Amino acid sequence: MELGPIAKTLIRNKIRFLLIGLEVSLTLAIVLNCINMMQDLQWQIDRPTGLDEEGIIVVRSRPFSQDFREEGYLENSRKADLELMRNLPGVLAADTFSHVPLSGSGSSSGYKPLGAERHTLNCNYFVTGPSGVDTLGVQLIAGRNLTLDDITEAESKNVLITKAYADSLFPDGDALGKQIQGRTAENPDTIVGIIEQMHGSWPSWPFVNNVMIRPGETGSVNWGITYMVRAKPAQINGLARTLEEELLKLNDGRNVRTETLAEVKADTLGTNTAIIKMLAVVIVLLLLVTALGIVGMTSFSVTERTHHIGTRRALGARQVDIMRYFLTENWVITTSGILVGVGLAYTLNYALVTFVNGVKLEWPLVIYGILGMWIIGQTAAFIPAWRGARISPAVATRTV
Amino acid sequence: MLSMTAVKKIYRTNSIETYALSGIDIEVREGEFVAIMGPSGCGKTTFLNVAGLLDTFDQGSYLLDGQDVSRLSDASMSRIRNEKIGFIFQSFNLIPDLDVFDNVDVPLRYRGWNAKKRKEAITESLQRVGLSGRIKHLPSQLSGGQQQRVAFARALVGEPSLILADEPTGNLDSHMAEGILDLLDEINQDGATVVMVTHDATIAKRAHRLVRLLDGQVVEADSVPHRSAFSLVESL
Amino acid sequence: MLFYQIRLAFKSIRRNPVLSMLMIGGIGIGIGVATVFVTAHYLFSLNPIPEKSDVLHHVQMDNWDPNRGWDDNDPEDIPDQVTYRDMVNLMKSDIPTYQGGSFKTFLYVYPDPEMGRPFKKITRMCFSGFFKMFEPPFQYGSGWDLSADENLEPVVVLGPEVNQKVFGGENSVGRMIRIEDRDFKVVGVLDHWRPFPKYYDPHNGAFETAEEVYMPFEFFRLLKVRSAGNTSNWQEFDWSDDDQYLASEAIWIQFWVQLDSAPQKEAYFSYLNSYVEEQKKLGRMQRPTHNKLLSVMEWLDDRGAVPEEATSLMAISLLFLLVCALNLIGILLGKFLARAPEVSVRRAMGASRFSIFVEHLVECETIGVLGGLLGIAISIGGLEAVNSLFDNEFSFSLDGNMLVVSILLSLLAGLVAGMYPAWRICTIPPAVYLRER
Repeated sequence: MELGPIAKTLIRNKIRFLLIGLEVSLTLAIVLNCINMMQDLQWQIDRPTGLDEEGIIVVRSRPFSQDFREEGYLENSRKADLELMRNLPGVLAADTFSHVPLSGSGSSSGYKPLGAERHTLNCNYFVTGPSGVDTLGVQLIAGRNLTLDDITEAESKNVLITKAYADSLFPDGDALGKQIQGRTAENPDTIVGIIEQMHGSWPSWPFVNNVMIRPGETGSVNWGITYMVRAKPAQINGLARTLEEELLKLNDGRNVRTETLAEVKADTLGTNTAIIKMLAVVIVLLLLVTALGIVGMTSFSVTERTHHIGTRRALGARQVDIMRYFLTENWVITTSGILVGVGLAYTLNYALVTFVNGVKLEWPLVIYGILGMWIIGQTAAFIPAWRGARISPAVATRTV
Repeated sequence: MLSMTAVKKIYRTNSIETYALSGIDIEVREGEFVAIMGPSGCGKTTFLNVAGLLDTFDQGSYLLDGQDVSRLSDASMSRIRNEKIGFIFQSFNLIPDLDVFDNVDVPLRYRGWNAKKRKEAITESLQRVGLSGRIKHLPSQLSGGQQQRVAFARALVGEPSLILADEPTGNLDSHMAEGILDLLDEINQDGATVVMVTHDATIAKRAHRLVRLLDGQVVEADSVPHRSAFSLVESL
Repeated sequence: MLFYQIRLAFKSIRRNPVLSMLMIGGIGIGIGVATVFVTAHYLFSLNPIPEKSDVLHHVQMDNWDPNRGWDDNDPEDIPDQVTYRDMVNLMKSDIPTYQGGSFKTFLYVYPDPEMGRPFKKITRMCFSGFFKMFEPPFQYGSGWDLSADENLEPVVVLGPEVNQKVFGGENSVGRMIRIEDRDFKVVGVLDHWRPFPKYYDPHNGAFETAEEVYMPFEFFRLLKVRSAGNTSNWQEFDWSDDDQYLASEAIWIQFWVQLDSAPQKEAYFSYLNSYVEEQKKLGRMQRPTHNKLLSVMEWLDDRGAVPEEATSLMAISLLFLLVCALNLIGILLGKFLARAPEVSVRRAMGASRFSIFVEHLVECETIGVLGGLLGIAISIGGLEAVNSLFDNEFSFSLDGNMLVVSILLSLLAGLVAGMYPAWRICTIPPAVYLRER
């Protein structure tokens, strides 16, 4: 409506409106980048890992009895433990594991196609038995699972790898049955199965999708044995306690600790959660400060122009017209701030991407940010504008 | 044009009630030029506010152009102010951020005319007050008399039937005041009803009829002349 | 005069309490948030051992794969730990005042069965030099002697937690404690010690707690333990074979030396260089020679001890403070200009432009300082909240320096925000406002 006159008024009071515009633009830039960071951190928590996170209990058996140092004792204990676990009601699968996925602790190695003249590609490997795949809840999409023979036959080096890793090793998609080697060509491994998806130990590792499952029975006197047990999610809390009790009944010469995989993951990604919360608080406070700034600024505009409002009212402006005047003025300021703010947001994002490993700002988020900023601006301006609208037209005849 | 019967306006502050208008009866015919006079605090401004629908009143009745305006919504009152009334204020009340053109434009904006029609009306109105050459000036770049002329242009641009002037020469020297009063005369000649509030007897003389207010009441009023008779006097 | 002006400022603040609360609250929130994240960042970049950070040096050399460097993305980067054989060889030097490699692992501690079940505790396998170099505070006793390293005497130093669990917190020096499959004699008990960041072994996070058990390095063979920290390797060998493992290029030891003077450091660096040259002749370390002898702060810098998130958050919080300052400028400008008529009267009565300026600036500073006090309160609460988000033993807290920083921030914010509005109000032409009213 009165864009022309409003613009003129703004230009004549430039400093004050410049300030609030700048405040809006900085706020938009900061908020967009904060939300962008939060989304990335949240995505690391939420994205599918291929694992049955809600249905897995991690059991750590740490032997302290000297019996475990006897030949064969550890192996027998492992056998007995697994038998007990698998026979507990509600248990779907159980096996030993060298490391726990999503735990922040694991082993990585590099492989390449046998005989290839290039650098090896990183992957995160886990050693487990034939029930490992079922225990993790990952899906085998090609080839076969590991068998007992894969473990017991000393020379056998059959492995499973994730599709992501298979595709990076063999871009043609023909990884199944191929042989791969480490740094040297001695003892190559054969890919016998491909897993649809599985995350490794370090959620923020760039190669988190590159995972290999190797056959083996793990455990040592020093580190003890790590098991994972899969059950229906509804049952796992009760089952965790039962497991602790039953395993100790079986052999008391050790400490047994259980936690769910969901807990392990929450622990590993605890920093993410903490930063998300901090950023949320910062965003809320920032928007609060900016909104209050807009309220204050519009209030001043109204107070300062009491007489003009009276005059306008005398000249026939309705209350609605006055409201609209201030809301439009606010809209013009907010919008100019937003325009600059979008530029600032991308600049700040560029800095974050370049100097610290930030993630790129996506435009849909920017659109939401603009809409949000408009709403906040109009809402904040509403109360003082309403107050302005209620100024009596009789003010016009008052000699100041 | 304007007819008030027993209009009362009461200001309440805590427990004290002050009558700003304690029963005003006044009648202004179409085409008249009436001066309302009285000392400070007599209720002149309140009268003007009520007459111009800038303020509500508590009792009595008020017919403007034959329409009862005592119980109107804000939007309707705004519309009447915008279309039927032109205000001229003592302190001009120009909007300092806007140039001459935009100031005159203000009432038209609320009328919803298109840009072309507005521009024509503004140019014409400014021509009438002799300020066509200063369209882009800001109020602060004009003399007091010029500012008041802009205010006139603004009051006239919507072609109101009633002009309400509040001490229009109060902030001007006598030379400028003369010019402004001539302008008022001219407007009146062109057919608008003019009601001017002032405390200055010499200025009040320029009107064709005088109404005196004291303590919120009409204490003395010349009889209401007939329009034709009045014109006759003028033409002599 | 200043007192008068401060009184005027308080009057003005009281005159419009809502507006003043807006201003003080706004800038207070800004200072509070900025203080929280500046503090966090500052604590990460803090010198963990100021009195010795220049003399302690971390030793690194490039023993990596001749065909592929330590870091694909950074050819300058070299392995960040050392091999067992290099540590043993280098420790033959008598140049450093103190020296020694160490690594962390987890060992079972067996308390008297009446005191409780056996428990695993984070343990550092190290040399006597560890205590001389890093100077952890002792409650009882001290570290062990060089001879205990050489003769592999079964001695331990305990942390306060283990001492509490096993000996009820008493002076346990001279008593025996069972760890894994043998008995050790307690020679010292540490007081609470929380180096932050954990500079001598930051590989598993700056927050990691100090070890609770310390014993002579070479016991790792007898106890058959391996590092629980990072172990990196580029060759293939049988990990379960101790001889192969110890002769390999696997790195898992943090090796530190204390070099008290520049000549000593020079001497040691040339010793290190000549050692590497010697190894090259033996066919090892075929990459370009690139040895590092970094002091504590250089080492932490090199590793990027400050997490990137902390840097991002600090940058964001400073921008936040800028927004709050802009906000304050806007409100102050409005408030001051609304006061133009009053100021005109003062000017007419003879107040100089300068005194008007100072008067208003004092008001801004008063608001800044009140905001700063609020900000400190907010930041104390904020740091508490941050601590509760991280379930670490370590906690962020304000120290004297940071209090000074937040006070300075508030004065600066008041000054920056007040400058322009105060200048505007003192330069208004009084005549205009006097005439109009």
